[in-house]
Amino acid sequence: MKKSLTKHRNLSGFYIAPAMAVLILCLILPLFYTVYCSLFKLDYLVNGGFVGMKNYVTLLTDRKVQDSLLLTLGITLISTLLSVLLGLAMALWIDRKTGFFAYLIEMLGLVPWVISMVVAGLLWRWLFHGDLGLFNMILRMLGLDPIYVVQNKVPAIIALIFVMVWRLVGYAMIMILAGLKGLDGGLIEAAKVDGASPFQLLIYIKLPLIKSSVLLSTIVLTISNFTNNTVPKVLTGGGPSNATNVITLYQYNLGFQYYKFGTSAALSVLIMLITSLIIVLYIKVSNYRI
Amino acid sequence: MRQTTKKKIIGVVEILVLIVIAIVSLTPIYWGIVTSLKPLNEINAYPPKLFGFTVTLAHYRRVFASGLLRSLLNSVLYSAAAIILGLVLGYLASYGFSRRVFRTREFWFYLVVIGIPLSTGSSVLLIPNYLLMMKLHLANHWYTMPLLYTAYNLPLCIWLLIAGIRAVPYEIEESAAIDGCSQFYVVTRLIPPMLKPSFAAASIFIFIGSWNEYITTSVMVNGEKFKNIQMAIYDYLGVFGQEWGPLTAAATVAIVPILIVFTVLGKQLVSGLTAGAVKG
Amino acid sequence: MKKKLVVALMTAALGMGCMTMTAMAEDTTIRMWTFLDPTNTENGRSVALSQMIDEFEAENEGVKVVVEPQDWNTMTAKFLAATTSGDAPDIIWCARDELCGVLNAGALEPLENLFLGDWSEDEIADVDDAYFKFGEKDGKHYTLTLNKNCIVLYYREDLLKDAGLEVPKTWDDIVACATALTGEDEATGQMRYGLGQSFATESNDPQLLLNYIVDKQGSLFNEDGTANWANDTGVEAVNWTVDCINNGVTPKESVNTSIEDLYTEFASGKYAMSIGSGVRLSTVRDAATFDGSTIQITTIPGNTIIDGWFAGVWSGSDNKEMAGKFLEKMYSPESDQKWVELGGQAPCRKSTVENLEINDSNRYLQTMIQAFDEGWMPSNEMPFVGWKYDLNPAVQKVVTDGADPMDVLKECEDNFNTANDR
Repeated sequence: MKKSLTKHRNLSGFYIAPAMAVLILCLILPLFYTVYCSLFKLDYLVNGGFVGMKNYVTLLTDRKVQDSLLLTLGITLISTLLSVLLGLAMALWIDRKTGFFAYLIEMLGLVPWVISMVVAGLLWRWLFHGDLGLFNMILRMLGLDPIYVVQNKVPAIIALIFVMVWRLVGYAMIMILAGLKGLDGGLIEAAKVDGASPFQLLIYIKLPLIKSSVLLSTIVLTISNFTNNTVPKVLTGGGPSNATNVITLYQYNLGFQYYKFGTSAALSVLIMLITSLIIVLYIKVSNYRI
Repeated sequence: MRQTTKKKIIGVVEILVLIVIAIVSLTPIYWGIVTSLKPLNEINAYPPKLFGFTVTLAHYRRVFASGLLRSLLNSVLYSAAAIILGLVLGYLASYGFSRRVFRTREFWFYLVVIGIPLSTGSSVLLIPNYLLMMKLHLANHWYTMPLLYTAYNLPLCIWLLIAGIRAVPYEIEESAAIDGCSQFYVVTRLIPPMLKPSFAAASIFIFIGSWNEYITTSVMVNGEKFKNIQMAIYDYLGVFGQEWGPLTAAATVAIVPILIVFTVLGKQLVSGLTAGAVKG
Repeated sequence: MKKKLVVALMTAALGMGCMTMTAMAEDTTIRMWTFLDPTNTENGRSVALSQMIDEFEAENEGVKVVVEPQDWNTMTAKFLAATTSGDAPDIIWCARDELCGVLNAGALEPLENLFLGDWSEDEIADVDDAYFKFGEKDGKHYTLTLNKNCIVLYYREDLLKDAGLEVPKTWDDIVACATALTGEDEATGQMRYGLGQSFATESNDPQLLLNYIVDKQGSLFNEDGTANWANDTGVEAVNWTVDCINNGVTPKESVNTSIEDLYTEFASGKYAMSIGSGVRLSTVRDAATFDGSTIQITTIPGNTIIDGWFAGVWSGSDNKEMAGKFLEKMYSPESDQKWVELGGQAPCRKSTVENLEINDSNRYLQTMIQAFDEGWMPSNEMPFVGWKYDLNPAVQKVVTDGADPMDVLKECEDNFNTANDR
């Protein structure tokens, strides 16, 4: 089979060239251009001269950037882990179902992913509102004290993670469900005959086989959460007292509030480097091969 | 007997879980729709009203009077163009990657992989990206957004379609060749029908990505002409205030096309992704 | 078959899109970036703008004015980016804190080169105010302010009257008034606070504590442009604010309340008084769950912080003359009248102020005019960015973490100085 594959070698460029051209133009070139910008002082986009690595040094030695990066990493990992676990659980659950029931859950799970992030973020902020929000209305009806969610540190972090999980759990569910649907039924039957418990079945048979779909959804979720600027901006605004001040907010403000585009570009490059590192790490850990 | 009781209990628990999922998923949407139907002075009322408010269509009339249809149409065209372009380019590239062996194959594939963080996190590179697009005179044209939406969704699309093509036995192509079918026929006629579910799944991904994009669009294009639906929603988060009524009305209208797409393609989503997930 | 039809339809639709674009070409096109959308018929300001455009196009044959509405958050950054590649709009509206950076970048054309040179002394005197001076650099003027704004105190006249209270004039008055008006709202049963404030770091409007510092020491900054907050006045201001929270006249949750929340909450009846910006009054009145006409505004003790949108002509424009002409048009006495009458906006020209008839429905304009006269803006010698919210973390940290006011003020000063390269 390998041999026959090489038959049309001369045409391979024809197939991949258009897509690669679009990727290079719209994704790779901007990356290089960002790296280029990050080497200059670019306040108000006026070229203030070549500064080499200075922007990077400024950022990496800034305590606030370090704190914010750690916070972002924490929030990203927790929310991704929760989404994937919940998604896995839901996928395992509805994998056994067929027909309308399964379809209903699929669609319900996907709703948060398909609606616009800013509208969802704003609505959640409102739902969590101390006086006018539904969440507290329910608490009051139960005779409990209202919780001012985005005004207190721990609830604000929890709310941010909650909304991030809420948004993407359906996505993870669908990707993992697809993996489960693709499993070889015979293999599972054989394991059952050999007396494997449902738990063993999951750990030793199913999980290793759906590794790639779990991996892909984990990668996408991690990047999406790490680079998410909209949800933190509209939900908690980074507060209170920097409790939810994720790195993308810092990056946004560097550009659109302080007009330091050189430093902002440097931070963009750092964010891209970190997300890429996380992906490489995932791929290494899971032993995935192309 | 005990078996059936156990089954019944599990059934009840499952229904309860379903209800919880429905509540958590739908509450914000329900709240948004309810808000869009309330008159101005009831929107901020304390305590909040879930039911029993005065129903008005005033906000909907207002958003349609402010040119929401134009933005809606733009978004439909942008997404449609991105889907077509994304599927064609993605399919060709995936075919090349999975059916051809060439020296630089790994290099190009890594390029696609790098494309995943670059596209998902594209908002982080916004200003340099805009500067570059301006320098290349690619910003603010009718093709600007379709091109960018295609690029932003292409890496994942290729990833999905590669796996889809790999699931198609190569023998089919070989026997077609023996029967005298041209390469052109194989690529354009023989394989695509077998990839229908994969195409459906990829279309949904491209559609959702394109439909909900705001920040890049707002910077890359100017004015009414090229405005997309998300920009129309953002209009109500303006300098003179956040206007909940029209905001939620516009957002509600924006959900309708998503519902349509899911009604048409939703059933194929899981099976389409499944083809892409087999190889562990 | 169906598929082919769909493809054909899409191609046709895309093609039509292209055709409408090519048909747009005119002799001279003036492009303007603003947050106003002249096609919006609901917004009075947009209606005023669209009338000006119609008149201008009728007066100048072959000239078309195209407004490209922008997201006001990213508009200035986008404009700067566009200037570097030569495709910027002919006219740009710029926010106060960004103007200095834009002028330093050389992105605007002196108005003296366009039309100001032809103006008589009287005409110049009619527009010469703090805003006009703010757009001045090296003896030339670069901008006209098309939309003036100021930070004010919103209050509910009915509540004050019922309690037999006067409109507060001093910081002590504010606290006394707020204390008297804090309590359960009879109409809704909601807990009503005397004074609304918002300390989210995304809040776009300067809070009372900044006004407090301005009132007590005349400015927020030293001569060299560094922040001047970590001193006794700063501590006093922070303590005044924190006392409001501790005494319960401002709710504790205001530490992460955004300015948008504040307007929403005010409309729900949560506050008797609140900080707010003058231009937002009409929206809040419309959204109020009580009788909105009882909402009035008053100036803040000392020099209220004032703000505005500064419009200028791009220095690289091919149609500077015509763009200048349109800018002049938008600022003409007739247009000023339109902004006031249709847009409910405060007048920009002194002559309009003189001719303005104040009645009960536009009493708020009086307050705004007074604020513009006495108001405070940072110097225009160098850029000052971020200061509007740089002090909000101080309140957050004192209230949430129990931090020492002086320590947090030092931190805020550092943040400001670093961000502004001081």
